[in-house]
Amino acid sequence: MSTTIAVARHQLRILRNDPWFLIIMFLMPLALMPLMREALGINLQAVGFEGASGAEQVVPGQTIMFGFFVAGNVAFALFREHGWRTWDRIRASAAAPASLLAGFMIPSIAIHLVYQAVLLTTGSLFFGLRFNGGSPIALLLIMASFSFCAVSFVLVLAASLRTINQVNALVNVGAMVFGGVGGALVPFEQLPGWARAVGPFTPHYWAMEGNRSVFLEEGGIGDVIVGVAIMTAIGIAACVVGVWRFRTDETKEFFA
Amino acid sequence: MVSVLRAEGIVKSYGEVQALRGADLGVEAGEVVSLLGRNGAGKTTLLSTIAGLLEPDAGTITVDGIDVWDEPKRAAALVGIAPQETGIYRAVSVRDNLRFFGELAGLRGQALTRRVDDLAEQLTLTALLDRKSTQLSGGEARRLHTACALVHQPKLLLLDEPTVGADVATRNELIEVVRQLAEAGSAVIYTTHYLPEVEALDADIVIIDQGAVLARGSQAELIDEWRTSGVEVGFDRAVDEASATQHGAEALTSTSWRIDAGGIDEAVTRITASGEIDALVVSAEFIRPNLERVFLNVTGSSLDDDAGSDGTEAQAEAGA
Repeated sequence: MSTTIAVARHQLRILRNDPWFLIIMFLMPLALMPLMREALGINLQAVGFEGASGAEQVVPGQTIMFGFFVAGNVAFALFREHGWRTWDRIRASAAAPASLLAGFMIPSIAIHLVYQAVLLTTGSLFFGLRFNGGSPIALLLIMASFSFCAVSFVLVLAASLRTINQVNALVNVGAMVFGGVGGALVPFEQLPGWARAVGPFTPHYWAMEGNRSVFLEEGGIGDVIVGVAIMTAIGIAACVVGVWRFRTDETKEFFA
Repeated sequence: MVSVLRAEGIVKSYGEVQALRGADLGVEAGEVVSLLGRNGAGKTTLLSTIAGLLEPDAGTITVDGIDVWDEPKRAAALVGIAPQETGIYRAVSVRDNLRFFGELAGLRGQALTRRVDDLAEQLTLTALLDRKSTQLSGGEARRLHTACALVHQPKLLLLDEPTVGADVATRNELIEVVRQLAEAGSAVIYTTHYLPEVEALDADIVIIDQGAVLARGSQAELIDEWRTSGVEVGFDRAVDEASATQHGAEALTSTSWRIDAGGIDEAVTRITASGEIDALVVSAEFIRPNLERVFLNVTGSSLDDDAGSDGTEAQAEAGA
């Protein structure tokens, strides 16, 4: 536990000293939201959500899509240890791999959660996102399960791949493709049939479904629980695979 | 003296390449051992196995009686390692670097704060504590790199080429710190291939080559045991090697001999006086007994000669 706390605290120190990645990841969706809101409002109305402003689609959609990039930070942090030649120094403490990984994952999950909260709050303040009777606790469950799922998913990539470029490429593809077929870019009902067929196999779909339930359909905990359970299950499975696959003595290339 | 490290029969291979061939090494409390060898001799691999970063194929390693591979957590608490390449967190301050490694070793609160301050003072990092590590000079970064290995006051300190890239002042400071640590009771293993450092440390010297420990002793003991003195003479043409013995010399090559003589004049006179050598002496050099010569005699090659390097150190880096 002491290793986990030490590593987690240190990761937050590093982020505090170099927060630009998070700042950019915050600004990019904020720049896109006003551009797409009106068009997506029309799209939502076209699929039966009378009176939707578009914020119900664009704010959660951009948050979920860009959130996957933010989850990539856990891989970046692990690979950066190799770039800075500090990985062996951590290994020399003989910490158990699971404790070490927890030290990297916990701050990443927390940051991901805060990231979602900040974007949704900003969406509420500036773009008209409203609960309209939906449950904030249900939303919190969706956010937490999606954060855990996304970071665990990236952990599998970090454990399995050798270079940071490989991880970045797959995180980018994952964010765009999963976001696209999961309904983060446009309402799920307007996607082509093949995309609607594969969408439910992505965590993005369940996160979007949960958000739409809360913001458009007065959804409560009971309405989002299946999605929360599925994302949590995917997260646990990914976490187990990631820890099992992770080799502390494996060399990772930070710049390659 | 209390034995801190016992490494016996350490074998480690990378595929076909045998990096360590039954290396033995013991270090006592308060002792500094300088591991001397060419690049690729197995120094880094040996340190990596002792630090628990690389599992040996055979052999046993105990630190303060604790088996490194049976009880890694307990053993790790006793070992501090500063690897060859500078490993510090560039994005945070010197203080945060030191605090992290202290926290990783279980230090907390006031004890950690005090230890960081003391260590900073010892390694002249106090004025730099709140400076971001990206703003450090090469020598300062090297001092921080070493300090990170010392935060938890290890009983066994492993320093792999600690002065690489360091300026003269930093080099002297680090050597002084190593001396102080040994005086305080730590056992230190210090790898290098810079002979002046070995002499400055006045440490016990372990010569390692091709993965095996070939000789050990103080500088004086090694010179006494392995020295060759006399004069090396060179001829302008090939000379019958059999006649070298008649002149009390040893044929080194077809055109050079080593003569056990007190000076150059004596050596040349002994060769020319007989009138039997049909060659001119074109060079003569008095061989002074020193560590470089000892290394040459023990390993058969110069310390600067990387021809024998088989790349195992690079593989150790990758493997570790």
